[in-house]
Amino acid sequence: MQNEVHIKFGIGFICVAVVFTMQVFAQSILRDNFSLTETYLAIDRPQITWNQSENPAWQIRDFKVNNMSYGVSFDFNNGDFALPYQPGINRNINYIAAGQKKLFENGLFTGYVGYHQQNMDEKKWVHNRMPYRGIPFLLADSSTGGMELNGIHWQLGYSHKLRGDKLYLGSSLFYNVDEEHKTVFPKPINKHRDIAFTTGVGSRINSNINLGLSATYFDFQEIMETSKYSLEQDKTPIFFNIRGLDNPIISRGQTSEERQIDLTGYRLTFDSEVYDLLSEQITLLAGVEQAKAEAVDGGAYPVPQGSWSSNRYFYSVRMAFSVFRTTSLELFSKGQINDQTADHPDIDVEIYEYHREQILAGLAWQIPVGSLFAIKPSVYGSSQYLKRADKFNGILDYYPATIYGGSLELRFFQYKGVSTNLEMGSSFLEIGDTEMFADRIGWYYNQITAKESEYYQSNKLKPWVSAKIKWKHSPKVDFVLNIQYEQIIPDSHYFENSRRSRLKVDFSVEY
Amino acid sequence: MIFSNYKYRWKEISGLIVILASFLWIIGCSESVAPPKSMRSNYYVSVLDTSGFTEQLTGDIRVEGAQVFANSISYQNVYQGLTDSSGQAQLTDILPDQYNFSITKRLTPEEVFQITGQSIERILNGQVQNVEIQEPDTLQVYIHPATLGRLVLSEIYYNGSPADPIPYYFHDQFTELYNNSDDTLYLDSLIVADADGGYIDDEYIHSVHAYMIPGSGRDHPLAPGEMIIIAQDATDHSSVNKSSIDLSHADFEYFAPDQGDVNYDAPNMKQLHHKYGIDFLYSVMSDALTILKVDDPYAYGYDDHDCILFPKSAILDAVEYRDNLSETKYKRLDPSLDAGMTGGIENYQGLSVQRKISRYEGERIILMDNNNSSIDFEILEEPTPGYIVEEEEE
Repeated sequence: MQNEVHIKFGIGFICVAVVFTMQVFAQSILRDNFSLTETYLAIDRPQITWNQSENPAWQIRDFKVNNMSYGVSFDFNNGDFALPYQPGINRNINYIAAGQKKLFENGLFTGYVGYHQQNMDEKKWVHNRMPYRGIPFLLADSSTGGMELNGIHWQLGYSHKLRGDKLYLGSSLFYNVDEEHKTVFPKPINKHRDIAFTTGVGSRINSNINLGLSATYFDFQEIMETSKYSLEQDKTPIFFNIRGLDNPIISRGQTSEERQIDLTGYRLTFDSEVYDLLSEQITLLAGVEQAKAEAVDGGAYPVPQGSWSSNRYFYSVRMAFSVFRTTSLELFSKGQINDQTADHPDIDVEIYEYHREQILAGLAWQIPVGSLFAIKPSVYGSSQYLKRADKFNGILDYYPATIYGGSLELRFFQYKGVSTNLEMGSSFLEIGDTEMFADRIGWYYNQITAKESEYYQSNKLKPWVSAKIKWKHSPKVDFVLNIQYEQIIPDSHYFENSRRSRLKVDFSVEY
Repeated sequence: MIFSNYKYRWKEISGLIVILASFLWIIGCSESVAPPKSMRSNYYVSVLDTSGFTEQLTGDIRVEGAQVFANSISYQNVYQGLTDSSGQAQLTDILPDQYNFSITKRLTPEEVFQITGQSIERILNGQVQNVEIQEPDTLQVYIHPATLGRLVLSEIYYNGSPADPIPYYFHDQFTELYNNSDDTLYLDSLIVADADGGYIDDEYIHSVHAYMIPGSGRDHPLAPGEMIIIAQDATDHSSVNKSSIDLSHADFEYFAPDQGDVNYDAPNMKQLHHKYGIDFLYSVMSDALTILKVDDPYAYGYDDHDCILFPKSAILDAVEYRDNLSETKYKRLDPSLDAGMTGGIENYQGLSVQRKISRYEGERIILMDNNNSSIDFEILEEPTPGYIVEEEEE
């Protein structure tokens, strides 16, 4: 029967909005759901049909029917308004199959598997997958060119209900393996092997209060290799061993080069849902995360290249109210604090410090108009700053900023099986009083760090539009199309006439 | 969204909005920022002369007015200072690293006359290698009299030119020699030789190639401030590879007749020793070149690997270059010949290394000669055979 859907993996086309993005200093945390994989791997959490709570224990609580999803996601961004190590063009395409199925009376099995491809053009120098994640130890060569990536990632989870709907347990395992190579000499290769294991518990205290706690351990490994090239080529590539914001160590590639970065850590997250206390619903998420990484060169004879650690604290809260009988008001707030430090590999001193704080608050108001559609305007404001200090070279950057944003959403209720959401919005990032200390600098600061400063110091306007169309083809089959387009427009003399654009298209079949 | 039957009053919602906004405003993200800590520190170098020169002039062995250069091995930065009346120089804000130090004190002819009765220019020179610097400290360096380089290697173009259209084009290499003194020098019997690696502590250099300027003794004078070009092939290379240069006016060229080399119009250098290769090829990656004069080039024999031997004491000037300047452990020349290395450039870029200008005496250029090519040489965007380019001020 159609409602007896069996999970089948390895079937052709797949779905969801699992996307690779270049994680940079986020203009706004409005859309940041603090996903671990998005932060460290630039892999968005799949927008799939089941509840994507951080806590796997709640999967079975939110389960409705067994289902499968298939689809394809395309993400394209380009433009010359970019940080130096951002590629000029970035194209991602993802195919995913996802599903969930009830096992036993109180158990639920969920999972997805995905294949992704990524192509970049004009990526400058660095071999690291995410040079702006915060780790200041970068390996680079002097070439600029394209990068091609292929990879597979999957996640399996199990959730179980105990004690008659009072206690929930769950675990999930995420795994990613991929390989990326540069298309120009010396053709370095970047490989990833990433694992994250999450276990959680949830408790339904009473009909109005749900509390949950989850813990995640992650181990992300990145290996950058440049194989020994033919000496008949008589070419010696220049390698840069970058530590911080200036003065990289320059060397000539005579033999194979290899760098490995092992990033491990854990995260604890508390989540709660409370009803009929101050508002109809309060949803709270709060967490703490610790991570550390070691960079090592050399393969069989490892040479330490530096160590790094990070502490992150985050929260997200949403309060929903009903007002004037038919309208609903949401208040929301998010925030995070991230502290990072890095140590010199040879001298036992801290050489790098990174600090980022962001807090956002806003409100949205949904107003039905007749029986066909509703409008939902929202406004928000955000305060944030980024500080990074290179204590080895004596360089410090500080960028405070404020963001003002708003959007208008039109929700067309389902009519003849079709429901549509249209949304448009815009935000403006205004830079505050920046501080920069750089008394004694070299060529690398002038070529790279100074350009990063220009980027961070730019005011930015970000208009965007999106549309989501869902067509209920039959009682059991839905087609979903999601299109999003956004632009970042700098207000800066340095980036005059520059832009950055992004187009994202997702198509899926859910049944 | 789940709605209860309980309705909130608008006043309470407004209160919550105000509280949220206030919360955001109060803790609005900001931080007071102070100048960062830095591992840069000040380093002090004390320069002493126990040879007697300085003491005879000033009554003290501490040397005032000596130029101090510190070259960082990992970062390729060069710091410099000048010693004060206490003989100490301060190098400010230097990064922790290993450093090679080179110190030069120039004595004018008037000063030398006071000491020796000879009215000639002398330099006092000293080097210290591989000094580990991680915190403020003081280094003592002793300097000794050295002969000022009268004839020097002023430019070496070994890099090769970019493909246009011929890839890996290296036939346009050349060496430029410059008369850095105020006397006319005679280049007859001057030998240009390379120095093979692995013999840094030997009293001889071991040369794979050695060529000599012919002449009977006074056939090739070189006036003060003049230069000559010795080309690998004295032809217009830009006619075959557009990114290359015209060396058809070179003063001399290397010619290896039994290696299939082409004999162009310039006078040929006399081949003394040629172990291998179609010509006297400079490595585009790393090499060391010397100019020397001996009475009998064959008097010192050969080593076990068929390299000809020349005494280090006969060397007039020597320059070492390498593409990876941090690889000091592979150095070919000992510090008394060249305390550093120049280069650090990618192959086949059409770049050249030229000795910097130290000063002018009237219109005559005096090139820098600290016996340290890390300090004495600079990278040119293109080769300049037959003329010296002045370094642009930053």
